[in-house]
Amino acid sequence: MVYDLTSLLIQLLSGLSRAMMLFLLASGLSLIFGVMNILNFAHATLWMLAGYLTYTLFQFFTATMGESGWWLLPSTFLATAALFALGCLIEFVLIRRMYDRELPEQLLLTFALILIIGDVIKMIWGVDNLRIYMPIEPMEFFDSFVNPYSFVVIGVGVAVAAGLWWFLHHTRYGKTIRAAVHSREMVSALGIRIGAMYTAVFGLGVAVAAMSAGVFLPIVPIGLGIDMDLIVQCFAVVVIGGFGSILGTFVASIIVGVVYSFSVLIWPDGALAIIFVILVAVLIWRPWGLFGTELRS
Amino acid sequence: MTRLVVEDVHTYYGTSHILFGVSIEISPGESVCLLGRNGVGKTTTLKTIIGLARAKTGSVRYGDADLVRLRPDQIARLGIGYVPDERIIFPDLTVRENLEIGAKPGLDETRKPWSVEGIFELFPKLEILENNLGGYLSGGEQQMLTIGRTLMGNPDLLLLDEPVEGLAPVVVDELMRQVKLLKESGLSILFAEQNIRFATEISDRAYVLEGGRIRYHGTMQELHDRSDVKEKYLML
Ligand SMILES: Nc1ncnc2c1ncn2[C@@H]1O[C@H](COP(=O)(O)OP(=O)(O)OP(=O)(O)O)[C@@H](O)[C@H]1O
Ligand SMILES: [Mg+2]
Repeated sequence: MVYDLTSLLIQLLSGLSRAMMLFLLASGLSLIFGVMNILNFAHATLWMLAGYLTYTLFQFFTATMGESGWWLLPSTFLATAALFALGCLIEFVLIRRMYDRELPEQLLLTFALILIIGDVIKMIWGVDNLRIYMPIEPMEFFDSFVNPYSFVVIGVGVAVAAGLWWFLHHTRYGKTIRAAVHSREMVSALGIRIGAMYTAVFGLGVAVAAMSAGVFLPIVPIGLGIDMDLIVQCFAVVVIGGFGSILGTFVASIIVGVVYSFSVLIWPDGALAIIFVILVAVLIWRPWGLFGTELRS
Repeated sequence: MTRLVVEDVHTYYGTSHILFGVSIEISPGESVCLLGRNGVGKTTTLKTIIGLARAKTGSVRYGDADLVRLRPDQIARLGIGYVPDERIIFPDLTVRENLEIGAKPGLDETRKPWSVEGIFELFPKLEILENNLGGYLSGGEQQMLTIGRTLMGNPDLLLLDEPVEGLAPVVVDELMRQVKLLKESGLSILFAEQNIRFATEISDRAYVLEGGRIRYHGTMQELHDRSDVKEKYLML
């Protein structure tokens, strides 16, 4: 195999698209853990559910109103809204009861969600892999052809990262969320309804993941089991970046995405192993992650 | 106007029984102190009022509201402000942002609402530090910020937990002067303190706590003449 500059660039592009998907998934996971101390094992499963929902909406739109790739937009939007509502409901009915419980109990509950949602998907959508075909012409890019949709994906990822960062640092609601990371009791004693805030944050985290499922549907086929694959990589991203830090999650996503995509080129079977070597190295060097804070009270 | 009536309160942390029938009353505009040595239950009493600890039996009433059944955020919105002894500053927010988090409308419409600028007038030191992160303040500055942040919620009753503990004497003097201004503005204050000298500066009446029980209560004047009470229960 020849490693010329173009093939490296293409690999970089694919790594960055992968990084954006990981970021959109992991940022919700990290936000939820940072604010509420809940490790939502079912996060990627909710992402997967959003993917199936987007797929069905897309099929419905094209079947009733004609073929067009643009139907992905309203489909993604509706699926994201539905998953935001489902996220809020799950927090309100189930997660709320787990705040004072130990981690193993939280994992048990969210693992149960994985099994339930997985079975529901099997009943409704069956076991075949699904994907959306977008009639997009490959684009010439440095003497080579790439899928221009990669740029859409990277753009969406960067925009969401910037949006989340702005929300957390420049809105009153976002600052309150960051304050609650430090002390939930103090925030509540200042008159802020913590319960409602937690519900909204959980819904928001799930919604960001749901949106990414729609955006990636044209390049990542969706199928049962993909959630387990992804959640493991998400945990790696969140641990490397530091829990609760959006910037850290972003940087770690790029590291993991790009490293993975180059490792696949060189040593396909060891790609995941290399990610975990990085993870372990970070844990030894900075146990709280690249951008996390060392202490939490 | 609203009166706080704590009646026969028993509070537990898990299975350990901490408060044994505590009763306290505060009328509007009054400044009352809760005196006692380390570990007698002062903080627990304040936490029971703001809802961060639950009274198992007994009642805490504020006007018509039964606080035992409410969450801390609901109690805060009734006009009770809590300043914890640990000075829980939000470290990665700036001084101004810390103050803004506390902002909420008050219930007493006759009183002028607090603004960040108003807090800077009361605590001029904070104005210079406006854009510094809360995590990098000295103890005295943190205490001013904690009080300022709670004032931003326009409370009618302020629960102050040992605000000058561990601070240098000059800082203590400054802070006591500022708290006195608050009292003179008509704010009701419940002030947990170990040191009777500080308590005297801003309080009208005192409750003396020991072993989770109120052992004595009376005006500051009366307490000063009771050397037996002071010797037995207080740090002189
Ligand atoms: N979270 C907790 N769990 C169990 N026991 C506690 C807890 N917090 C406080 N205590 C105990 O409750 C008792 C009263 O504590 P509290 O903090 O109310 O006292 P205090 O009068 O405020 O003391 P200090 O002057 O040291 O602040 C102490 O014996 C303390 O050890
Ligand atoms: Mg105390």
